[in-house]
Amino acid sequence: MRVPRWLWLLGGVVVGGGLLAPFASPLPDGLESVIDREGIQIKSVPQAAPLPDYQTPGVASPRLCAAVAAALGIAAAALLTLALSVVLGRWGPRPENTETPCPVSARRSHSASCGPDRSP
Amino acid sequence: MHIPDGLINDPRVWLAADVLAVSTVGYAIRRESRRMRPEEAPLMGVMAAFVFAGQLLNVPIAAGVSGHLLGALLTAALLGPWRATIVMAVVISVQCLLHADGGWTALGLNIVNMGLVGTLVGSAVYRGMRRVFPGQAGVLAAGAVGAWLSVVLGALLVGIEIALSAHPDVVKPARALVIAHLPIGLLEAGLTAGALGVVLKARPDLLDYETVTFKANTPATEARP
Repeated sequence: MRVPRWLWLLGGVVVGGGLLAPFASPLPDGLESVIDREGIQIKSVPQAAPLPDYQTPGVASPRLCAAVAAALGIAAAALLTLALSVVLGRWGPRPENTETPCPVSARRSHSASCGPDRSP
Repeated sequence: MHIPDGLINDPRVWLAADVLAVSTVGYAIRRESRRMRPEEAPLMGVMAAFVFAGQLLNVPIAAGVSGHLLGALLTAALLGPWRATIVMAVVISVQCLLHADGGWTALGLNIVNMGLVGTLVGSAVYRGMRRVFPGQAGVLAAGAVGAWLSVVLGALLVGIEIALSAHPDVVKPARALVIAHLPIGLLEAGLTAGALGVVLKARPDLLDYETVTFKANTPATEARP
């Protein structure tokens, strides 16, 4: 079976993101640095998560620990979006309703005047 | 820019953001359920992967501060504002539920600040600029300006939310956040323009003005039974 190009691209992002993740900067981000500097009050609230702070529990090597969590997160977000989009695509327009885009001029004046057939 | 639990403690502030996020994402799903074609699903998944990867790769920006790509404007440029809204909502939800990056009570706030601001406000600026400046240079300039704005406006909104939620000084947090995000916005602008440059070479059809605005403006299938 031939693997489609988008799947290679997706796999590349999952693997590449995982490989790069251990080298992400640990410095505070813009919001965290402002909270520290301005002394903005913040309550510490524990938050349960399977892969907290992009770390994999139970993996000893720190690099592997970050890489696995990142790859799993990227894959989870991609698969969820893909599944949702496939469902939306199933509900989507029927073949006879897919139309070429409207010309800019027609859309600007009144968008209802173009696109797929609409009986008045 | 992910807001953790415990920062915005006034439930009126985060509940208002929840309502805005749920209604906007709900509208986007409903709208795209009439327009999405099955062959368009893969690009949605690929963009979600790109945005997730971009958001977890922090790079040092200035002394003691790091930043990362948001990707909302880039996604909106490739998929249109409403599909980008769906992608950003999924990414930010996974970050919160799987990685505890962004609090549960702040999920709506984070979807508004890092998602909707870029996919709807930033992309409106992007599309307006593309109308004024046609051609490849217009794509890059519009992408850079829209991306920079989406980061800085998002930061401003975080500051306003902190102020609304019982901070004694109204102006201070917003000013500090905007200043901290001016260089992070430049990173966003550079990465977005760079990515758009690659897309212009590899798949210019994805940036076709007609396609972008078609998804954005035109009701496609009202006659559907």
